[in-house]
Amino acid sequence: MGSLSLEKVDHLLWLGRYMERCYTTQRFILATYDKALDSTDGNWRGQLEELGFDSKADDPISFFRACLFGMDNHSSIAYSMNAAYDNAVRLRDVLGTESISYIQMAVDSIEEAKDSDAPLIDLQLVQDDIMAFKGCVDDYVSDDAARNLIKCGMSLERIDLYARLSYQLGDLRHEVHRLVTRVNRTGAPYSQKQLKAVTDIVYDPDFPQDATYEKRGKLLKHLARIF
Amino acid sequence: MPAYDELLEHAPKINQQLARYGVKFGLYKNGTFNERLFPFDAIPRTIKPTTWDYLSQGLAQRVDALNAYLRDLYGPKEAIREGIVPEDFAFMSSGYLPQCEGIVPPKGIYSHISGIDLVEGENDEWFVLEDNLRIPSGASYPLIARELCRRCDATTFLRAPLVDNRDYGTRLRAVLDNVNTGGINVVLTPGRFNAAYFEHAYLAEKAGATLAEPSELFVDDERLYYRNATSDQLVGAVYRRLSDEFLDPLCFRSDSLIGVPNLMSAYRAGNVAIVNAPGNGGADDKGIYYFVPKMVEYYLGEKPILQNAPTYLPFYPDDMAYVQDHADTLVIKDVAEAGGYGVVFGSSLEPGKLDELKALIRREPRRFIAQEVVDFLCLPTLVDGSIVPRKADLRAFVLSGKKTTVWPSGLTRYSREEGSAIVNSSQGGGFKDTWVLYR
Repeated sequence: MGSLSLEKVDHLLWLGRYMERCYTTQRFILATYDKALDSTDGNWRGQLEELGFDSKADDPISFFRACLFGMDNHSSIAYSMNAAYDNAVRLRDVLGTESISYIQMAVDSIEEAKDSDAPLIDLQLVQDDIMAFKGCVDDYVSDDAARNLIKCGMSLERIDLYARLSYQLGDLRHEVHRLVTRVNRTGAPYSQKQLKAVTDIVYDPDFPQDATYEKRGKLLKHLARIF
Repeated sequence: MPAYDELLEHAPKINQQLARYGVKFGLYKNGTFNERLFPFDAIPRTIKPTTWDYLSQGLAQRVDALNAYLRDLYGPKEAIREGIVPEDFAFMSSGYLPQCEGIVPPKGIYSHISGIDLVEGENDEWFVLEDNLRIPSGASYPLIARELCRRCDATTFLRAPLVDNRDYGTRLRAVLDNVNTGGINVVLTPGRFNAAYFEHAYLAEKAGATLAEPSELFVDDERLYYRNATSDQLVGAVYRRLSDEFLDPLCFRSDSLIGVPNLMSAYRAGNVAIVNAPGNGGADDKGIYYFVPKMVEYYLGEKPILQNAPTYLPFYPDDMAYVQDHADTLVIKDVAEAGGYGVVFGSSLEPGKLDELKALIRREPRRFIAQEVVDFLCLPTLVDGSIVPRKADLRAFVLSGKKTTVWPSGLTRYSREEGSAIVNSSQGGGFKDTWVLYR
């Protein structure tokens, strides 16, 4: 680990978490938006309410807009990307201006998409910027610990969101595997016990078929205690 | 003068790039922090090689004299004893810090990075308006602007005979390494909500230094450490970007929440270099400015190459009489203010207000200086699609390491209002790149 204080370790982890929150929430909305228009099956509103959205709007478009752009909810993509930016600018000496520019562009794209009549299309730029940021981190960030902290933050958030939203549960093993292989390379202290508990849950032969609300809650509890 | 027409055609692209890279500065308005892009004008200031030779020699000379004065001020005080700088000015300056008495910084350098503000008058005549020896900011903006302009319009830069300015990070690193007492280099920022935070972070990146907030540093046994998550790292040089009074709550303001307790004890013990040294305000006060040409003669035995704007000190009876008689044509500056605040043009005041100001000057003569209004040159500036003249100054950066050198560039700040001479970014000014030509 180079010159990384505990504050920077924290910023790196949260940078990863907020980037992923923005990315996955947006992907989830993209996946459910179409279904919602036809009022077809799916508990998309209930799932998003798991993230704290409690918009009273009846129509799905207003509800989704709040999930995308509402700044009073920590799960909205606008809030998440602003928070990612806030962490990133404190890490310019670690990440480099080139990497941070993708976050800046994502923030700007969200701002512009707010007034768009087709925000989900305009927000594709945000997805592009997030993917570019990930590539940039691999290419430009020389500090191995810093890179892995961001990636662990992303994995933590992805596992957290998938579990909360009951979304892509079949991918959780892969994500937990990635977390396990990276966590030792962060140089940061973590709880092996909690990580093992998370691993045990997702590698249970009955998972995800019997991923009950309670089981997912247990997973989230252990996940929150790893770092 | 090199053509910049093609560069102008690319101005929208350049501004897009500045937005992409977040070239911003912060402003507090009604207690709320806002960041905004620093307005950039693609038309550069150009400086001919002969002019640059003259300016850079004069600037290095001036900073060498100021460093000599600081060594003297906090050491033997010979210039004060000999009346070169009156005692009243030396010790009543708000920037003079008795806590720094007797401290000799590593290599005896006080002002490592000096920002000297100049304006160009008629006939290629330049005047120094202000010396900034505490934490002068602004180098990052022309640095990144040059990089981005080159990307946007390669043709112009292929043809223009410009001295490259993109080595500022290397120069800064050399300055830090020169005084480093053993350990890492750190850029100490008060934090994310400082007006110049972009610059702090960008310069840390470019100089290969660690960006640190005060909570990430601590002093133990008179040594400064960076609080690394795995093992603490010794700090040999700290490029601090917070004011003296907040630097160490155990030495200066006890209510400072952004300082590093006991930093001054580590500094006093010679275990860390502070860049720039605390107490430099004792030499860049607007009142002390008057005496800088005398310092050049006294310490260096040379004729000053650069001239001050004609300045009067109401502290002296003759100057007081002049200021009282001519206040309506002078610019009056409160020596305790900075950032373009506390600057009043006598011609802009109603007679009653002017009389009030004159009375205030009589009551507090040490608080003010008065200067003849220098009719400094306007530079062509792109405003709303038209090229119009705007007042502009130049902040030149002088780096004192193994040698005193002048960065061949600088921050040209311009007023966005027609006729206004206030160029400060905090008051709406914009910036230009400064092109130093080699032929």
